[in-house]
Amino acid sequence: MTGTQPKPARRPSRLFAITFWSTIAVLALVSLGLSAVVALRGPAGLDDLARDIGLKPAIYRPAPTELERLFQQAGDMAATEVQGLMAAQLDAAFAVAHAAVPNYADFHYSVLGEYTELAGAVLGQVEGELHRRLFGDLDTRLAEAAARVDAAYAQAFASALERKTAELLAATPVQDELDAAMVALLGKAPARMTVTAPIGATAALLGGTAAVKVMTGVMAKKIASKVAIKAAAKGTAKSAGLLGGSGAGAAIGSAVGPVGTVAGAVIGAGIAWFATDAVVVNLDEYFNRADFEAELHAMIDDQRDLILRDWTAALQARPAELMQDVALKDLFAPAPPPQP
Amino acid sequence: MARGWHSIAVTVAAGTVIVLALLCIWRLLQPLTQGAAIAPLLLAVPVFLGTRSVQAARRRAWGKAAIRPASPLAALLTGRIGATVAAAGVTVVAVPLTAAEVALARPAELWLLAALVPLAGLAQAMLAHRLGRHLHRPWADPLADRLALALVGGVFVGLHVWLDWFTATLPGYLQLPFAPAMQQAMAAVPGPAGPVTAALQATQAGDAARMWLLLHLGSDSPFAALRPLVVLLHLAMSALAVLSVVQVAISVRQSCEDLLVDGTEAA
Repeated sequence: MTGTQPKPARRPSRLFAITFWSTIAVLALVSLGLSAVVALRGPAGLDDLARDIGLKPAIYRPAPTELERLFQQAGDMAATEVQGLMAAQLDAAFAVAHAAVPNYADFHYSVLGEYTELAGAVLGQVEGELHRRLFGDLDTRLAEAAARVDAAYAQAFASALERKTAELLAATPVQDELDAAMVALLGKAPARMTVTAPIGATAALLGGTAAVKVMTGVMAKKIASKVAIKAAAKGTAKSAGLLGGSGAGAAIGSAVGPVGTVAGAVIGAGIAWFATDAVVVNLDEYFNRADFEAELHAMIDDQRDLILRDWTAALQARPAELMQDVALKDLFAPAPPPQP
Repeated sequence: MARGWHSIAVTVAAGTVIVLALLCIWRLLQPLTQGAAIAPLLLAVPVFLGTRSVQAARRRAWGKAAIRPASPLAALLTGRIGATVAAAGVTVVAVPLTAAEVALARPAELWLLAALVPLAGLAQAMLAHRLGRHLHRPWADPLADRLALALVGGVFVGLHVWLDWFTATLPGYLQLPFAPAMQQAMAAVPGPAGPVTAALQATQAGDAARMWLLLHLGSDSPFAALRPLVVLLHLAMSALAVLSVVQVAISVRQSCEDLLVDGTEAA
């Protein structure tokens, strides 16, 4: 009894063999046939097949969108509800910027301001002065406004979800076990559990430093282009003034000899240069300051409207964002560094 | 020899077709009708018979070795009851878990399970053949079952975890609080209302509960220390599902061998 060989195939009765292998063949053919239907026509093909053999009334396709729809509706309601608060918060945050416009215009219409802006335009650093004089601590104010809107949205979302859930439960008759399970789960869950939306799972509204950086960048580009155009326009007037000032300075300086002539020419040219600047700046201010201030106000309003649109879109996208799938391995990824 | 290898090939092929065909029918028809449950019920028959035959042979051999033939106990302690209970236990655990795994698995997981079935049957047959050179069949067969379960199961549990890690996604609704998230998970199970769908929903809710805990026990959670336990539980459930499929494949092949191959040991 060594047992070195596998057991030899039994010679089963002919009837048994036919039955056994026929059963296996039928199973294989049925599974291949069903697979072929799905492969060729998709799962809907099986639906058609089921209808043909009278199974249609029993077919249930999952409709897990009920709660998703509920969330989207609650999200839309909450976004609408906080729209007024958002506008008021942004108005308050930007009020300081509007109030600082005359201060910035004073700076803009000064010889020092003009050269600072011009240097900034050349170096691409207009943002720094603009941010300091116009926006100040706007980043802090925007971050605080965003936090207030976030909190209000979370509360409005919770209330709206509670209302919509109650409406859904009242309107849904218990038709089958799925509905019964849904009613049981939604009905028995503690109200706070059911309606406390995990707003923390979604991205916070863009506020603070990041938003202000984007904003000052956009406005700085516009101001830099205006400064460059103004500097080019002043070129001709300055050339004539420079020649005149230089000639007058040289004439006065020639009284003390050739060195005096040269020094007089340089000093005269310098005085003429800045005098021309002062005259042009004052004339520019006289004719254009009101327009410039209006333009600054308009730019600030544009930025405020832009942020309002971004925040509104972000709030409207939250319910869908809440429902996005998460890769399993992402759960164990190290947390990203905090955004500045 | 040729006849022996032929019997291994035939039984592995037959077992593979039976398991895969019945599970395929179950997977495709379950969303349409509760009647699809007939497929796993049919599968339970060869699983029970295959497991019982191995268990009964082992118990019978122990009885023969331990009890004197003249003793009246020899007629009573045949091992049939113990083997039946053991086979019923294996069937009751392995078949529903396999059916739930197949009904709820993602397509990538299904391909893995489809590859597992013939390999598990083949491993068990080869091991039984090799061990048969050293042990009598009543001991060789159960040992081959356990070794195949450990070897093929171990490899495929690893592959299943790897696949899970790289392809699994947590549905967005798990971001919701627990109760509505479970409701969403249950509603995501297709099928007509009835006990079969309800059982699958319960399984799905169990899976979703583990995933929900994984998602919500982040580092900022006050219960973050419990996260490793949830990970272990998740891995254990994955392993249980894979081992169930391996057990089903092994038992069905064994059943085919009992039906098609002569039970006497070759000299």
